Amino acid sequence: MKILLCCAAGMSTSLLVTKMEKAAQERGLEAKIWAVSVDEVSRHLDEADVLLVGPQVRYKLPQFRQEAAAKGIPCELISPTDYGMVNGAKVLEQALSMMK
Amino acid sequence: MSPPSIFQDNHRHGCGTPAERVQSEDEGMEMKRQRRIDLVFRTIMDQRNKQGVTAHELAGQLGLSRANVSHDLNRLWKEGKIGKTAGRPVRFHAPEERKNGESPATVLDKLGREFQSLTTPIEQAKAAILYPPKGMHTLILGETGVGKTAFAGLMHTYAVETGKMRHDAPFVTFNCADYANNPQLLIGQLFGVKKGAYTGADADRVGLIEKAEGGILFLDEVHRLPAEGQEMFFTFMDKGTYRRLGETEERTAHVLIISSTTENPESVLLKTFLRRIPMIIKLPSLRERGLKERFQLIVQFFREESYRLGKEIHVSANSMRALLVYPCPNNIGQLKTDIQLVCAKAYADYITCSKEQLEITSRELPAHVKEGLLKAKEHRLTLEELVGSHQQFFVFRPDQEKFFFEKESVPDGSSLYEDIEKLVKELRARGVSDEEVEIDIENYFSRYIRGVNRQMRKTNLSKIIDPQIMKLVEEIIAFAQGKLQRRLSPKVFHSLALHIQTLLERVRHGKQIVNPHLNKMRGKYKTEFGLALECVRMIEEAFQVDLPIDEAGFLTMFFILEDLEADEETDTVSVLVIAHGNGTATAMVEVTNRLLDVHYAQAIDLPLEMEPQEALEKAKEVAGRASRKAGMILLVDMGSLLTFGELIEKELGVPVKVVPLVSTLHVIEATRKAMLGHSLDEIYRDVRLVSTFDSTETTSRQANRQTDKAVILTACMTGEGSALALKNMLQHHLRYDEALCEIVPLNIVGREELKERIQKWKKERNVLCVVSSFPIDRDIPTFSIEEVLNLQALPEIQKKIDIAETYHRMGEVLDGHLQRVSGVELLADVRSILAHLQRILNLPIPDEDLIGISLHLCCMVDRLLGGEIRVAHPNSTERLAANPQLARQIKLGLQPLEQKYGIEVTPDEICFLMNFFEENKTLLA
Repeated sequence: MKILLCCAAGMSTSLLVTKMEKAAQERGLEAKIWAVSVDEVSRHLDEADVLLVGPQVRYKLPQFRQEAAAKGIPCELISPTDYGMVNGAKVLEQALSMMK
Repeated sequence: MSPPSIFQDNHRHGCGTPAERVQSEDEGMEMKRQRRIDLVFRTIMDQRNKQGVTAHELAGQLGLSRANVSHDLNRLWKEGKIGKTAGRPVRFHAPEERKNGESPATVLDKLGREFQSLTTPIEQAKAAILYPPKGMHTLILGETGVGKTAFAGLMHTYAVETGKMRHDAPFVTFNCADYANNPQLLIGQLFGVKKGAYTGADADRVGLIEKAEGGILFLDEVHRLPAEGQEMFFTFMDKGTYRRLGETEERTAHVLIISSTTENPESVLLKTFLRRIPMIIKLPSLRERGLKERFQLIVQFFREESYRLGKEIHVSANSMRALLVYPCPNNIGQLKTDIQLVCAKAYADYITCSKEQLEITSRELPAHVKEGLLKAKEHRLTLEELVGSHQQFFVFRPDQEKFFFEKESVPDGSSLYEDIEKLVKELRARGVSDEEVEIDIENYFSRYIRGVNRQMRKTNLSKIIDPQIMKLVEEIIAFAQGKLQRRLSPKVFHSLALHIQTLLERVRHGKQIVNPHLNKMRGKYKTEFGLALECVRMIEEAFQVDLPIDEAGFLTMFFILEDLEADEETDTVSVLVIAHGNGTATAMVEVTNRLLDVHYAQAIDLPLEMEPQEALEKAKEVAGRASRKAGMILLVDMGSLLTFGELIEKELGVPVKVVPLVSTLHVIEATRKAMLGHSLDEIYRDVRLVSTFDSTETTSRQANRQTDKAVILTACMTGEGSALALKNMLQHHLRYDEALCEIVPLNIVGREELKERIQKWKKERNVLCVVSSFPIDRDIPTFSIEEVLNLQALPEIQKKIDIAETYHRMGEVLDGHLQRVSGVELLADVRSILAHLQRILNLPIPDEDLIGISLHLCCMVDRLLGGEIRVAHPNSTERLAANPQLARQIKLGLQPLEQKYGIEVTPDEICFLMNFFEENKTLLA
C-alpha cells in the first residue's frame, strides 16, 4: 500500500515516515510511505492510496479532501496526539483503516 | 429614663395571608426574644455611669440565662448599640457618646473624642468662639487637604450650638485665589461696590462681609489676598468698620473672620494683618495624625459612601492596609476623594457585572494607593493591630454607626459548634441528604483547620490560648501520636487548642454539644473514635467538666482530617535576592512584589562599602526564617555571593539553590513559581531557563502556562459537594496522567465568584475545559453537567486531555529522533517562541495545531543545524513581499532560537511559517 503524508515542508513528517515504515515492517506489511510538502501534494497524489495531512497544515485539509476525492483517494488529518508522539504504529493503523 | 424600644421595626404581627399565619409561632418566639433584648439594652443604658457589666452579672440581675444574655449582648454590640471592653472578662457598657456628661455633646466635643490629635486645635477653636464678647478672629494653618474649611464649618456649628451665634447665623466662605488676578474685583466681592466706583460698576453691590453679618466669613487661601485687601481687613478687625469700593462713609458689621492658608503666614501675610489675628490654629497633616486616626477616617469615609449608596460596602483587609499607608500628600481631602473614587468604581462593577455585593479588593485600587502595600511592612505591627490578620473583609453598612468585621476571628467569636449547627440546619432546610451534609461538614472542617492555621502564622497562639489548654493539647497530641503510630502536623495542634478553648467556653455557658454524625463516625473511624473518647476523658479530668459523647465525634475529625489534609498545604520556597550596589536588589524585589501584588520576595542590598560577610549574616537571617523543608532560592548578581548558597545550606541545613546574573525577570519567575508551591528544584530549573533563554517576560510566563499541569474545572451552583461528585465521576471515566493533568472541583457557594475564580485558574494554568451548568468563559470550552452525566461529553474531554498530554510529552519523544539537540530543551524553547508569536500576532493557536507546528519548528532547528538539506518554498520572494509585516514579525520572533542554536532561519522557512499563521488566522476567523 502507498501512503502519502503531507506537512508544511515535508520534513517534520519524515520522522513519522521512518517510524511508520518500521511499524509496517514489524507487521509484515509492504508499504511505500513518503512525505511531501503542501505544494507537492498534487504532483504525488496519483501515486498514493491514502493521503494523511499533518495537523499544522490543517488549513489545507478541505482543499486536499476535494482533490483526493476526485481521484477516489481517502484523505484524513493525522491525529494530533499520534503526530505529536510520532506514533508510527498508530498512524499506520489510521491509514489502514482509511483503506477499508 | 429608659429609651423606647429600638427594635420596634422588627415587630410584626402574624395575620393576613396564610403564609404569614404559619409563621406566627416563630414570630411569638421572636417577639419574646425582642423583649428580652430590649430589657438587656435598657438595663445597660441605665447603668451607664458604671464600669459596665459582664454577661454573667447581668444575667444574675435579670434572672435570665447567661447564654441568652450573652447572646443578646453580643448582638447589641454588633449592631453598635452598646460598647464592650477589650480583654476578659468582657464588660459591656453604654456607648461612649452617652457615657459621660449630662449636656449633649457639641460637635467639637465629638470630634475631639474621635480624634486625639485634634485636642489642641479644638480647645483653641472653642476659645476663639466663646471668647467674650464676640469671639476672636482666627487663622487656620495646615497643608492642603487637612480639612481647614471643614474645621471652620465645625466652628460655626459650635458657635450656634453654644448659643454664641443665632441658629441662622451665616457661614460665608470665599476663596481668595478665585479673584487673585483682579484685586479690584476681589475687593469688590468682599466689601461690596458703590455704583460708578469703576467702569462697569453699574449698580450698588453688597459685599460678602455684609452677607456674613452676625456670622462667620471664612477666607480660604488668604495668602492670595492682595495687600490692599489685607489692609481693609486689618481695619475691619481693628474697628469693626469697612467701606464699600468707591464709598466714603463707613459701615459696620459683626462678623467673625476665620482665614486659612497653607503657607507660612510670616512670609505671605502683612505683619499688621497678622497682628490683628489673636488666634492661630494649626491643623495636623495626615502623617502627623498617625495610623489609628487614619483608620478612623477611612472607616468614616466608607461609612459615608455606604450611606450615600444605600449599600453595604465590603472592603478587603489588603485594601484597608493599602489605604492606611499609601503616601497621601494631599491629606484627608485626597484620602476622601480616593475612597470615593474606589467606591464609585466598585459600584460600577457591581452594576455592570451584576456582582452580588459591592466589593473592594486591592485589585480595584488605583496604582498610587496600591503602592501602599509596598510600605505595609514598615507598619506591620500597627497594621496588624488595626486591620487584624484574620478578617478578610470589612463591611460598612449604610444604617449602622459601627462597622464590624465580617469574618470574626475564630478565637474570639464564632465557635465551630455554632457554625456547624447553622450549617447543618441550613443544609437540612434545603433538603440536602445526610450523606451530603457530611461531605459539607468535612469540607467545613478542613476550612476551619486551614483558616486557623493561616492566622496562626501571624498571631502568637500563647496569647490567645490558656496555657493550661496548651499543656493539655500537648499531652493529647503526644498520646494520639503514640496510639495512631504517626505524627500529627502542627496544624492539628493549633486547631485543636482553639477547639478545646471554645469547647470549654461553651460548656461553661451551658450550651449543648450535638454531633449529628456521631454514629457514622463511630463506625467509620473506629481507632480514631476510640482515641477521641480517651481524649474526652483527658479534657474532663483536666478541667473538671462533663462532656457528652458527641464531643468525641468532633475530636475524631481532628485525627482523621490529618490524613486528608496532610500534604495539601506544604511550605513554599523562600525567595531572596542579593545584589551589589545601593538598592539594586531592593528595586528588583519591589517590582516583582508589586507586579504580583504580594510581599513575597526579599532583598538584601550590598553597597560597595559593605563587607560581603555582613550580607551573608543578613542572608542567614532570612534563611533562618525559610522553611527547612521547602528551602530557599537565592538570586545573586556575581562574585562571592555565588558561594553563599553552600555556606547557608551547610550552616543552617536549609536547602539553597543559587541563580547567578539575576535580573528582575528571574525574580518574578522565581517568586511566582514559589508562591504556586513549586519545589526548589523545579524553580531552580525554570529560573535558569529564563537566563539561558533570554526572551521577554511574558513569553516565559505564557510558555509556562503550557508546561504547567493542565486542569479541568468542575463547578456547581449547589456547592462543592456536587462539584466533587462530578470530579469523581470524571476521574472514573477519563484516562489521564496525574502528573500532567488534574480535575479540580470549585466551591462557589462562598463569596468568590465563579468567573473570577476561573479567570485566576486561566492565568496560572492551562484550563482544558469547564463543566458547569452555564457558560462562563468564551475562550474555555464548557460542557454542561448533563453532557457529562450521560457520558456524551467524555470523548471530547478525553481528546483534550490526550492532546494536552501529547504536547507535554513530545519533548521526550523528540529526544530520540533529533540528531543534534536535546528534544526536551528545544521543545521548551520552541514553545516559548510560539507563545510569544501567538501574543504579538494576537492569534491563539489551539493545542492540537500547536503540536504540529512545534514539531515542525523542532525539525526545522535540527535540520538547519545539520546544514545538509535546504528546504525550498516555491515563489518565496513573492510570498515574503505579499505580507512583509508578518514576515518581519515571525523573523523577529524566531531570533532567540537563532541566537541560542546559532542558526539562521532561511526566508523559505519563514514562508512555511507565514502560511501556517495566515491560514490559521482565516481558519479561526
